[in-house]
Amino acid sequence: MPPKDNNISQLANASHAAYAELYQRHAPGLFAYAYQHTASREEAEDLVLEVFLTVLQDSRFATFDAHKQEAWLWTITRRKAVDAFRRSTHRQHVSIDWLAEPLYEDDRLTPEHLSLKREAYAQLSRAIQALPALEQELLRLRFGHGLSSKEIAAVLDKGDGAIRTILHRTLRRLRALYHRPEQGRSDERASTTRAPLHVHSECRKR
Amino acid sequence: MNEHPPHEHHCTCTASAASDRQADPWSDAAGADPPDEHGLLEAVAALSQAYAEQNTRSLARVWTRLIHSQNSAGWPGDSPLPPMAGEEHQFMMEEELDMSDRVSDTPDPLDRQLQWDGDTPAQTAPRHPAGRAFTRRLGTVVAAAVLVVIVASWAVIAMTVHPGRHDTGSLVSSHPGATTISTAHLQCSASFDTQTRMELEQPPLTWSSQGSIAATAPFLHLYAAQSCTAQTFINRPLTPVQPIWSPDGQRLLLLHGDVAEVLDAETGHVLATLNADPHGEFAQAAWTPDGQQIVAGAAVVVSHTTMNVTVRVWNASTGALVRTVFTFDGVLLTSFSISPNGQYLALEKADHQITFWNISIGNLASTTASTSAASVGGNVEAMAWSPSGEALAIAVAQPTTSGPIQVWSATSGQLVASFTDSAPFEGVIGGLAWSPDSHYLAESSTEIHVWNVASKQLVVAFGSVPAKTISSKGVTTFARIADVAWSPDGRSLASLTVAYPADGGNGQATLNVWQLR
Repeated sequence: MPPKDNNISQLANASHAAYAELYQRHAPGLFAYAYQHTASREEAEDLVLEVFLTVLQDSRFATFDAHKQEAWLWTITRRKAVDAFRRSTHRQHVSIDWLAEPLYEDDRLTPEHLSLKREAYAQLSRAIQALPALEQELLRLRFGHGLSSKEIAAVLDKGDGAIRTILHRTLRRLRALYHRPEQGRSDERASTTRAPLHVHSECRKR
Repeated sequence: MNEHPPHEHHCTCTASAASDRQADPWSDAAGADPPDEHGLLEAVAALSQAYAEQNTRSLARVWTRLIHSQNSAGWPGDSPLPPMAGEEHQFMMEEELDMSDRVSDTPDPLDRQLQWDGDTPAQTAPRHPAGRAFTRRLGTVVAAAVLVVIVASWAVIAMTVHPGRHDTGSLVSSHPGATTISTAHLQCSASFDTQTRMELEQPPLTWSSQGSIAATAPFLHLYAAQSCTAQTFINRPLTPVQPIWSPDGQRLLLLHGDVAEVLDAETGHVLATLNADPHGEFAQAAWTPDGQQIVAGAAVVVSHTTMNVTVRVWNASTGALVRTVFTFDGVLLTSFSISPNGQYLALEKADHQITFWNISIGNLASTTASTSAASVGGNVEAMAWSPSGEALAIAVAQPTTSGPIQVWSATSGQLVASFTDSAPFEGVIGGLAWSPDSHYLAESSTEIHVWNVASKQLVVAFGSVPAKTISSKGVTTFARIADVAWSPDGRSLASLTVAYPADGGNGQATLNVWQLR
């Protein structure tokens, strides 16, 4: 609790700044974990709020070094995830919908180019959804939550090195699918679409 | 979709279907040829943009709620977070994709370690062999995209009474013993305000052989167990501490960061002071049965899952260091535990084997077989040493039930017993404690369950609290029973309930003493 003196606003500002930094650094990863282990976005938000309120209200927390603060945040989050899961009436976890073909409007593009582009997005989306579940997870955490491989490792409870390796492989695999649609098993699934992923070069409208 | 290449109708093109020089459809400039890697990254980012924006809004909403909860503490009323470091991530992505060229095409040895077949969609095997059974049990409850729920908690050691008074006897006896429990009645209660949500105190509740109960939430509160009357304490510490009663109940050891103090339990006078390493903090401690020495583990957290621990023995009267017994590196945070009689300790490292160490002799007592260890460090909810100090009960987290509870022998490393709570808890387990005669285990979450260990039967469930309530004014309150502690004679059980508002603010802790019959 802040002492009752003239510096209360200074202290409050300082603690606020410190917690803002803490939140910035850890909340994205913690939220991604929470979202994965709760039934709804609202529940995940509630969970993250609980975690930060918990550490905020513990006077010891501010005295911890960075490692210990991180450790507490993650430990508390994991416990609360089990708590929330058991309390919830929606025990069924819904798989997360994170891919959406962007609405694409650009006057500079020809209609043909636009439709090719849309189809390319659709193909990529299908290609991603044909990936193994873990690889899709990685992409979702990487691109949808902006997490570093270290944070992804914490969310999935795997080693940082393993995450990097799988991520590289996933992106390479996608790149290969995108570049050479004739090859590979996943491409067979994608080959039912007729538009090619690549456009012939030097294709100019007359 | 038009099967003919579009150029037939509109463009002049060279027909080169398999040409390497392909224009990138991801590029906005038709005819330009940027590196396709970059385009791919941008394309995935575009596909996930709507989702990413939702997440950004989620984080902003939580921050706003956090601000509002702290307005009374003087936080500025309106302070949006500075923008996230999105640019950093962009750079990292490209860097990573560059690196990917160096990764060979040969099968990754990590694949085997992860037990994952990269070519099979929607099939992820957990890292740990024991986890496979875990996953099967989860079954249809969990969709393919969800991974194993890992729960870690700081170890909650149930403080049963000094084991020195009791015969070691058999661990799991077939006789119910002199006391047969089937009912519980509330004997007395006491409440106090608490700031903490009681997440990581350990242990929050201890019952001395002299009939005093120490509750930390997070500050020390002392009560007479007979009446739940608050006891005054001259030097009552005003900072969070971890209390450990001496075997005769006459002294109280308080752990506070890098300092530990031995106090006279009646007067509160400091009798001795112990100092941890400058860089370590006292994590756990125990008195030897004769009350002469204190065994303590001091820890330094080195990552968000591991710590380095040094175990030492101190003279309880003078505070002088007697000897350093062990140094452990890379201990999983929630897995370290010293038995209440200071005889054994248990810990787990990344290899998922529990190792038991004999403190008085100073060597390794036993190791559990890695295939049967419950991945303690990741999944433990609560731990409790048997009164003899030779067996450790561990509650392993599972999302839909509160079991199983595994009982491991410290001397042999064998799994002695394993059972699942048939009445699943609503929330995470807070308290776990053996009765002084080793016949019963008490568990608490939103209810208290008492088990007969030998028959693996639930003998009584009581003290239920609502996990979540919403008042008529729309205030959400969470509650759970954070810890339980047995009386020295095994006839009573104390419990500590914590209730707190969801959106911040002080909560209330309630001490209940239950008569068991």
